[in-house]
Amino acid sequence: METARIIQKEGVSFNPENLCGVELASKDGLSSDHAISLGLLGADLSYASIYRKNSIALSYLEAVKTLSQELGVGSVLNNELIGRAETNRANRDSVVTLVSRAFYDLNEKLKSVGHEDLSGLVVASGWIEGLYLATREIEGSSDNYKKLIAEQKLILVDVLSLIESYKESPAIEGMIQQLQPVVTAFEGVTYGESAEITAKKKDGVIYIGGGKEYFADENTIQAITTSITTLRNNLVK
Amino acid sequence: MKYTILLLASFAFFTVEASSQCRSFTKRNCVPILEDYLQNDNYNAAVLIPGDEAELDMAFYGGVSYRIVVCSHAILGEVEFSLNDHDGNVLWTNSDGENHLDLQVATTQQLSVKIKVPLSESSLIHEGCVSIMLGSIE
Repeated sequence: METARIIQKEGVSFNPENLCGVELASKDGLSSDHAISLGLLGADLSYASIYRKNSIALSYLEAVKTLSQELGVGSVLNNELIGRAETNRANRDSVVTLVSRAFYDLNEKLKSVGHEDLSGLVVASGWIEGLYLATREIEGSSDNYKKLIAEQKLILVDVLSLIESYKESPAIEGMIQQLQPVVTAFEGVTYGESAEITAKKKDGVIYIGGGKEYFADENTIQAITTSITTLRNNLVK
Repeated sequence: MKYTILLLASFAFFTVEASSQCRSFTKRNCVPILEDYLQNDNYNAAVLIPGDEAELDMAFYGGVSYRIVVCSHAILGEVEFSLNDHDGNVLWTNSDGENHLDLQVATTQQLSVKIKVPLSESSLIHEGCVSIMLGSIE
């Protein structure tokens, strides 16, 4: 959801052609395949809802419901939730809130039934789709937008840390392998000298200053775009 | 006992029943503290006992407003929580017993939330749920 919000904030327009087809939800496969599809379609759902494309969002919500049923956690996306999303389709904030809560509940439910590895796959593939969508509109984008792409290096580290803790799962091991070209591409990201991190309180909010600034040159942006596109397209095959 | 946990990782050291109670507790008591902040997708909660410590790494995007909520069963007493930079320097602590922190970061960076359950003088070891939630707002 956060990646989608950042894309929108930068003034990038919505392009439905960049999304995975909802038919991905009907593909046969192992639980791990369904978890990957859930992450991909969930990211598309977030993207559509952030852009107020609520009709599109509802079709992705149905696809997510199908996949969550395949994974045995279908109770999270029950008819009541789908009905509420339909009733509130004109209100972007309501749809965004419903989608966020639904994914929080899915994550919690998968963990509670001992499928932390599947939860990890959902997170990893969701991040992949989010970065894929962000890199679709990279041509002619601002330096700030490229900086936002470079900063995804931090998120990649988090995603890898998460899934590596479940690497006894063959599907997780496979995902780690598939992410390696993306890891290599992000090695081109550089950062300036780290300014001392400071914290100041104003009006009840803590403002954290300092830290590193991330940069990526054109070659690195191109390498990230190529590697994430290849990976994402392999996942939707 | 000290636990180090990674972003999104679950605490995997409690029973199914305790896990279920923790989920209900989080929904009932912690989600409302987020108010208008949009909760992220990640469920991080655990059943802890007095003296336990835990740490959660989180990435924060520059310019986004966040609320971190740490809420716990009253039986555990006042759970301490702090926000730390990647070198472990403390940036903020809930010295006044706050259960949430609103923050913004100038540049995207990873910070960690550390929690510590106070020791108890009781001869019985009480366990209780501790949840860490992150919300953001445009």
